[in-house]
Amino acid sequence: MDTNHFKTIKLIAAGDRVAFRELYEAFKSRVYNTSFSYFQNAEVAEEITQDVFLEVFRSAGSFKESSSVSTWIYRITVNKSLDGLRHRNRKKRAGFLMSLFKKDSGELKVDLAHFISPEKVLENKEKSEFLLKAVSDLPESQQTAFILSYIEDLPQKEISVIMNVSEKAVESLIQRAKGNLRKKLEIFNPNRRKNN
Amino acid sequence: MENHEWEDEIIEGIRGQKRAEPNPFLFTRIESRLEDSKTGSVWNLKFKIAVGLCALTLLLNSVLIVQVLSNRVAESTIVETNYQVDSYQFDIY
Repeated sequence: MDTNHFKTIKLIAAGDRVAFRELYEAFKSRVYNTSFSYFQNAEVAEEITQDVFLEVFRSAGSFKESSSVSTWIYRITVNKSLDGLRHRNRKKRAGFLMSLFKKDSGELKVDLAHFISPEKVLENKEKSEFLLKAVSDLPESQQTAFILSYIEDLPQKEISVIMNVSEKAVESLIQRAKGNLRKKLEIFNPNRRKNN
Repeated sequence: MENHEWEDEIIEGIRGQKRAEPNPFLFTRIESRLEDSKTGSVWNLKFKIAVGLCALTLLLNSVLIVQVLSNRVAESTIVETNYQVDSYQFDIY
């Protein structure tokens, strides 16, 4: 499968648009789903997907066959998503500073703790939405490890290559991410609330 | 040890969910961005050539002006020197 993708990448490097479309069809949902997991916003996820495929087209010539095409595309996706998150956080910080000077900025502030009321029992869809919101509050590296492992279902070995860390580090990041997510979910646990 | 069964169930529930699909027209948008960047780079090249030519013209003009000015100074020096020489020779007689 990857040998085919290597050939496709070579064709893309030579400017072949048909090969580019082929690669897009093979990876579009993986790229889109990963970026959607970071932002939970279809529009932003599509922007990131566009950026990823433009980068793939432009840097196909410099692709080295030392890693698989999938790993390479995931790495570009993670980097673009993290760049997007940093850009959004910078804008948020600037917005916060501005709001200190303006009394009413008109911006709707969503606090994760109030996103879903603890009084409401979480439905299945809400559970996933809430979990994704909680994931977006994790530190970058934990977020990436969790998304690649739980949402993209990648083996830890591939995650370690994408993130450029050891497999042990990936394992530890996932454990810490789960610990943090449990803490965030705890307040909605109906059994716990009954006990309290 | 605390029991996190409820929380873990939610966390594990995210595994194996169907992937979200992008807009079917997304590839067309990517292609048009590729075209735009190509046109952009051609314009960039044209702009660079135009700026380069302007800079070269300015440089050549400045060199020309400097040369003309230095020639005029040299000419006026020669005229002055000749006048002094003539005056000197006139004084002898």
